[in-house]
Amino acid sequence: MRPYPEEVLKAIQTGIGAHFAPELQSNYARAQLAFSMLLFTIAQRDYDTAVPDVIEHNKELRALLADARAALDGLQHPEAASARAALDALPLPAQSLKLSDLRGEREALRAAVCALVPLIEPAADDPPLAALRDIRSRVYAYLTADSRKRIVPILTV
Amino acid sequence: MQPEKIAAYLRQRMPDAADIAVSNVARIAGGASRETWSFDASWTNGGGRVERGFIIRRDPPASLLDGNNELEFELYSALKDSGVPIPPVYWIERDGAALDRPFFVMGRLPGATDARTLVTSPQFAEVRPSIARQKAEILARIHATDISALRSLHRPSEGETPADHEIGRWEAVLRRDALEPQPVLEMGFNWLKRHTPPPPARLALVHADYRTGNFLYDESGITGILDWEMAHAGDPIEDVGWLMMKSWRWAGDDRVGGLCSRDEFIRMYEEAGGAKVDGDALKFWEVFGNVKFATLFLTGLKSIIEGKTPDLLLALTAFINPGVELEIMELIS
Repeated sequence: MRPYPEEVLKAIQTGIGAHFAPELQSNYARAQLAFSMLLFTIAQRDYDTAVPDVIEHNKELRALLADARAALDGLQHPEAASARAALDALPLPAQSLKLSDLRGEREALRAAVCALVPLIEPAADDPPLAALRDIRSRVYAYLTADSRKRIVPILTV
Repeated sequence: MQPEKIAAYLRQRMPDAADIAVSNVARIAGGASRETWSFDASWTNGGGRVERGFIIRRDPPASLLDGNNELEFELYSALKDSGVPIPPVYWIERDGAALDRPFFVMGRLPGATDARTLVTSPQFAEVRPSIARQKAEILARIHATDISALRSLHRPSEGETPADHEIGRWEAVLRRDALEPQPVLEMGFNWLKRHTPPPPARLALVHADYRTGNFLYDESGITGILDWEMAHAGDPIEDVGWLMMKSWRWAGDDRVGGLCSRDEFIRMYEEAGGAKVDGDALKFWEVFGNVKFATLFLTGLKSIIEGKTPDLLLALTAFINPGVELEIMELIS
């Protein structure tokens, strides 16, 4: 049913710009208005693709973590047992398309990456962790690509 | 903030002044850790009319930092004759009786802070090289400050290195304020713990937010060093690493702070009496700076999500983090 939520956001943004902006007297208030305009734009940009974005993110990260779990098999290291336990305790994929459920799954997957940090961050230069070098490269590539996707160009030098 | 309230406050503080008038009260945009208000005041004293510009730095309802007015006030007082350009400070109020929240009052210095204008406008092309040199020389002067009398200054514990102390301090902020798992920052902290530099020869006054954008300038050069709220005792290379960060390369190329090359800055800083800059230590502090920067924005985001502040800048700054994360990954890979 129209208006869609992103259209409502757009209407509010336009209305604020038309009705409130001309009334603002101080530079501070004008700056706050400019911030709100940018935030409206970001919210609209993310609205339509939010669900497929999280689904894709979760699918990719779950596959990566499955490979990490396999790489951890047989690894002798003080941190290995807790990392294996964290990966074994991952929740099942979200059973609905509700954003809140998908985001909950994403947080669990990202927490599992955090549990791997003491093993994969030093793997490049720590010989006992050499078996994790490939998975380290893939996790770094994943995190780099994920950060790149979330960049808002106007806010980046 | 009402001019009448400020005038009433000035009447208390300046009992010999007559006919106090306050005008042009304006909140200054930017600055995500403390409210900054500018105003003009005039009064009659000893028969003559005096006019002066003032700045009020007031605690916000919530911010990126657990700020400390006392520290900033003490630093401005201690640096008065140091050759570091800072505004004169007048009064500090530790409660909210006069203007709702604690604040201090200082003089308003001439100049602007806008970093992009400084590094891109033809108006400042001629003065840019000398501003780069001044920036290095002033930093060396800050690091030469005797910190023994600065009671409010945060210091590492006995036997703890500045690097370990700062890691612990900011990792605690991450644990407290992150609203969701932060794998890149966890990677960053883990890398930092494995690459801590040896302690410096002596603890220095670290500004901790020293960069293009945090000093005032005009056509004559740097007129004031601002934003001391994160200052602490630590490793002087922390400041050098911070100002090298990509986030402050306003010219869009490799020049630090948009002003000069890394090597040039280090040479000018060392020539001015600054600490010897070790490459490994510099890399550590540059990674640390990025990790701290991203962590700061998590605090701001939490404040706005929890409704502790209406400052929309704190929502917007959270969107800077992906770019900072990319830089962290680049540096530690």
